[in-house]
Order: sequence, then structure tokens, then C-alpha cells
Amino acid sequence: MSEEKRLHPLSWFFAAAQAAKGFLVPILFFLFASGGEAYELWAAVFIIPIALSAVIRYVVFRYRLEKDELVVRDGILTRTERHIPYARIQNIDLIQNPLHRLINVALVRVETASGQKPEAIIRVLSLDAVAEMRAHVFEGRTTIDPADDSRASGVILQLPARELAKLGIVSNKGLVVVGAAVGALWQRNRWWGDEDTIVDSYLGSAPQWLEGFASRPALFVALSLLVVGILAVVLLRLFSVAWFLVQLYGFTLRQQKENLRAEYGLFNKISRNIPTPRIQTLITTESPLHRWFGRQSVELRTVGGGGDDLDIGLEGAAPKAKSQWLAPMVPTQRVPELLTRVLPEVEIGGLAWEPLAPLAWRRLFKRGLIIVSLITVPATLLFGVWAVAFVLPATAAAYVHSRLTIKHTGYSLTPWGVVFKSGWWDRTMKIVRYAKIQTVSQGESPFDRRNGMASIRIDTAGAEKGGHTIDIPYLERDTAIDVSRRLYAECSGRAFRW
Amino acid sequence: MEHAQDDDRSSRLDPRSVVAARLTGGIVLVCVALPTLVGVGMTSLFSPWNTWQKIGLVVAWVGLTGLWAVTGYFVPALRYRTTRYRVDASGLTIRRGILWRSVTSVPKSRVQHTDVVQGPLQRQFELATLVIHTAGTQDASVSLSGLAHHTALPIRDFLIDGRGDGV
Repeated sequence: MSEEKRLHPLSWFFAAAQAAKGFLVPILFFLFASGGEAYELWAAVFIIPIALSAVIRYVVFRYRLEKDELVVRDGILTRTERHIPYARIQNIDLIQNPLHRLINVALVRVETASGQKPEAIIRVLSLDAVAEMRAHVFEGRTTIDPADDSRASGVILQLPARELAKLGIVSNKGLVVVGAAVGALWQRNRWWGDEDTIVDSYLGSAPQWLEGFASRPALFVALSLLVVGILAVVLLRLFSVAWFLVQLYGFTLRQQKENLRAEYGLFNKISRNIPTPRIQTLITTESPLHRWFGRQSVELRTVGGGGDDLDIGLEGAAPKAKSQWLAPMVPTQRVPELLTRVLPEVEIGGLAWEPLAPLAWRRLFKRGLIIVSLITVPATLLFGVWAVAFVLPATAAAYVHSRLTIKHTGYSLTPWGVVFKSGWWDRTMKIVRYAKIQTVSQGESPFDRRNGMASIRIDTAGAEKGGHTIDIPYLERDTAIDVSRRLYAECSGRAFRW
Repeated sequence: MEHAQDDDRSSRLDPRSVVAARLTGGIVLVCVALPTLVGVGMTSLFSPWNTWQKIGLVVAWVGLTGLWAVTGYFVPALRYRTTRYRVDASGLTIRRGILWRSVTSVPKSRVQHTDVVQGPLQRQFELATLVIHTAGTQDASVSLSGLAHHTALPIRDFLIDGRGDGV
């Protein structure tokens, strides 16, 4: 049995802080505002035993790095001993907030493969201890040579602030910032005990203001709405840029033998370690804005992991499907080379794309027509004959959309896996190696049957429903049978290793 | 799906599953129909609705219950006719569906673990449901009900044996 290790000496502080986080607002309110309500008093009282138990729990926490497994012992009254085989461990991630960085410790998240098993969250370990754990788990090394780790073994990608700004412009995280700001505003008013919250007072005067506004000349109204609209979009994108600059600051992707290491973050510094065999799916996305910049975003999906670090100790949050950045922003022409570098067998340059059924566009077009007619009926009731003017352009749009979509959708069966591309406006490409396919399904709806078509679903490993399947619709039925047979043959011939 | 794959190497479910399914359906129907019948009866007798509304209510009840009974009678037979499975060295393939048809293939190497489940009624008929767990998400559990218990057990044993890889 190898030596038992303990947490970092200052872990008790972080554990207590974590427990206190939920009670922070009531405590502050109770301490600083007069006439606090009863619930805040009770919250302030309850926090003491909770923080205390968090502290004690961390004092008794122990872990061991055995030959094939990580053993964690935890608990005050109920002692739990958990064995996590290294083979099961998908990632070991580090999270450091500014306080962690001050004393060179980190919150460690051990993510396992199975959807049922919770992750282990270790709060906190010193950086050396983490390096040792990672070396043990992923490389079977028992000693750490400081030179090994600091060796810059291949920086694959580094994103300067400029690229992150582009990512912000391309993405839509502005609303997240706005939501957080509104939430904070609401809280602030509760603290100060205003009778009228700011939002309430604005809403109160809004009706009269709106009336006054609407009575202005129509052109003025239209122009001001346009200006406000543009300003809103610009502002949201600026927020989005700021968000990404903070979240992914200094994004660096490194490769050390079979491990990918992604480090990023301005305030909270995150270090993710992903063994490349654990990658289940790779997904590249390209929106029109991406195309304008000549970039694509590449994500990868592994099994298990994710969830918030709200839990203390071993009862970690149930793992959720986790999509992680491989390359948040990368020049389009670099993508094939990047993917091959990360997964040597994956080769997406010069793929031969197979199309969907030749009449597939008609089915999409029919669906579009149904939507158009569904909108036309109430529109005619509301706007009378003028609604008809919308039918022609809408139909044309549906036609163009269906033809373009089918033109840009296709699949490719390569010697190493299957690739599926879809979308003409927002373009996506999903890449799965045969060895990672779990089940293959062929489906036929009554509409499929009428058109002699079928669809294929390829399921990959994941902890949560959604986002882990590749659905190929509107294939000719014979092709579908053929393709699913091939997929099944390829994947059953390869062993599945997490 | 009628095509070349549909050969006689694939097996059907156990015929008793039809009877069992009809019986289960019937029990559920009775459990739902009786209270609603009481409700309808009370409404007809005591509520202030006019005669036409009451007649409409009774007709609706009769119609819905009749429809449910008819589907409950015919669907199990349809299901029996359209469900097929095949177990071979490479894995398990299940073909099913009346309107929405599907063929699901699980390679043997992807089977994580299996269950053979028997509800109380299934026990009476010596039927069982075979549940196969994979690591997938959409198809994380593939289940096949209506198998004979003594057929399900060997299939389960076959699928989970010899899995030394993919811990």
C-alpha cells in the first residue's frame, strides 16, 4: 500500500468558504443592515455547524495513489473508501481562483467514465501533488521528475487576446452577461431594502413613456428602434467579447504524449487534462461570422465529467455531458492538421462526401411549406389580404433553404471512422472513430417509407442524453441498410476502451 | 422492414407475450375506465348540464374507452408480428416498430451489463424483458420485452460473457 496523502494544510479554509458561499448574502445583510428579517438570522446561525463539518471532513480526508487505482477515504461519521481505477478516469482537471493561485493550490476534479459514478472533487491540493496524481493516473509514472512536466512538449495552439475577441464577436455570450447583471441588480435592491426597486420604478414609468414615444412620427419611431436595435446587438457582442476574454484568457493547448492539456482563464484559472483515447467525438462548427473571420471552432466530447463544483468531498455532482474546447478559434485551413495532430488516425483532408437521397430536398421543402401555411392562416386573419404578399417570398425562402441544406449535408465512411457534415448557414461537422461507436440504429418513419428513405442514428458514449448521437436523415433505404451494416461491422470489430 | 436482411435467422418473440400484453392492457383499461365511468355517471345524474351535454359526455366516454380497448387488443398482435431479433457472434440486432420502424444493433463488445426483468404478470406467463446497457446515451439501455424467460437467460449470458476488454 502506498503512502496516504492528505489535503493541503489550508484546505479547511477553502472548504469553509465554499460552505459559506450560499449564506454570504444573508450574513452580510444581517451584519450590515438594520432590521434584518428572521430568516437571515437563522441562516447566519446555521452556517456555523455546516462550515465546521466541512472543515472536519477535510481534516479526515485521505487519498492514496496505488498501482492501478486512486483510493480516497472520506467522511466523519460515515467513513467511505472509494476505489477509482485509473482506467476509468477520463480527466483530471484543475480549477484555481485568484486565492488559489496566491498560494499555489488548486481544486481538483477527477472525472470518471461511467454515467452513474460521481466524480471526486478534492478541495484543495498543491500543484505538485496534482502533477504527481496526473503522472500516476495517465502515465503510470511513480516518480516525478520536475523536468518532465515543465518540458514544453508541443504547444499545439495558443490564442492571443485578438482571437478571443473574434470568438466573442462570433458567439452569443452577451446575454449571459446581461442576465448576470440583471440578477445582481435585483439582489442589490434587496440588500438596500428599497421600497421601489430600480427595475420596478422603470417599469412603472414605462407605459407613459412608451405612449409619448409612439405618438411621434412613424419614421422617427422606426429609425430610433433601428438604432436601439443596432446598439443592443453591438453591446451584446461587446459583452460577449469581455466574457470570453475573462473565461479563456491565455488559452493554450499542449500535447504531452497521449495527453492533451488545455489551460485558460483570467481570474479562475482552469487546467484540463484529457487523454486523447478518451475523446469520443470531435465537432467543428462554422457560423457565417466564423467564415467572415476564416475561422472554425472545434470542440471535443468525452464521457462523464462536468457539473458545477458546488459539492464538497466525494458526493460530487452527477456528471453531465461535457463539451470541451479543443480549439475555440482556429484558422479553417489549420483544422485538418490540428485534428491529425491530436488524433493521428483522423484524416479529414480530401474526404469523399456521400450525399443524402436525391429527393431529400423535397421532404424538407414540404416541411417548410407546412410551416409557411401554418403562419399564413393566422396572419391572414390578423392582416387580411396583405398576408398573402408574404407567401411567395416565404415559399421561395423555404425552397432555397431546403436545397442548400441538402447540398451541404453529407457523410463519409473513412477507414478509421465516420464523419457527418450538416447545415449551410451554421455548418457543423461531427467526427467519430469506429471504435467509439456504441450502437447503430436505422429508423423509418411512415413518411420515410412513403419516399423509400430511412435514417441512421450512431450512438456514442456519454453520461447524458443529447449531443452524443449522429443522426443521418433522408438516406435512400438501400444505402441506409448498407451504411448501417458497414458501421456495425467496423465498430463491432474494434474493442471499446473508454 | 422487408428486405434481404429479414431472413429466417432472426427470431420472433414468444407468442404468449401477445396474451400477456392484452391482459396488462385490459387491467390498465379497467383501472382507468371504472373511476371515469363513476365520474361520468355522477355527472349525468347530478350535474346541472343539459341533456345534450350529458349524452355527449357519455358518448365520449364510450368512444374513448372503446378505442382504447380496440387498440389494446390489436396492437400486441401487430407488435408480435413486426418485432424480430437476432443474436449472433457479433451482437444483438432488434427490429421493431409498427408505424415508426427501427433496427437497432448492439455489438457484443459494447455491452456493459444486462438485466433480465420479470414483472408479476410476466412471471405468470414465464416471460421476461431483456435489458442491455451500453455506454451510449440515446441507446443507453436497449430493452426487448416479450421474450420467454428461458430464452432471455442464455441470450444474456452469451452477451456478457468473454468481455475482457472495455472495462
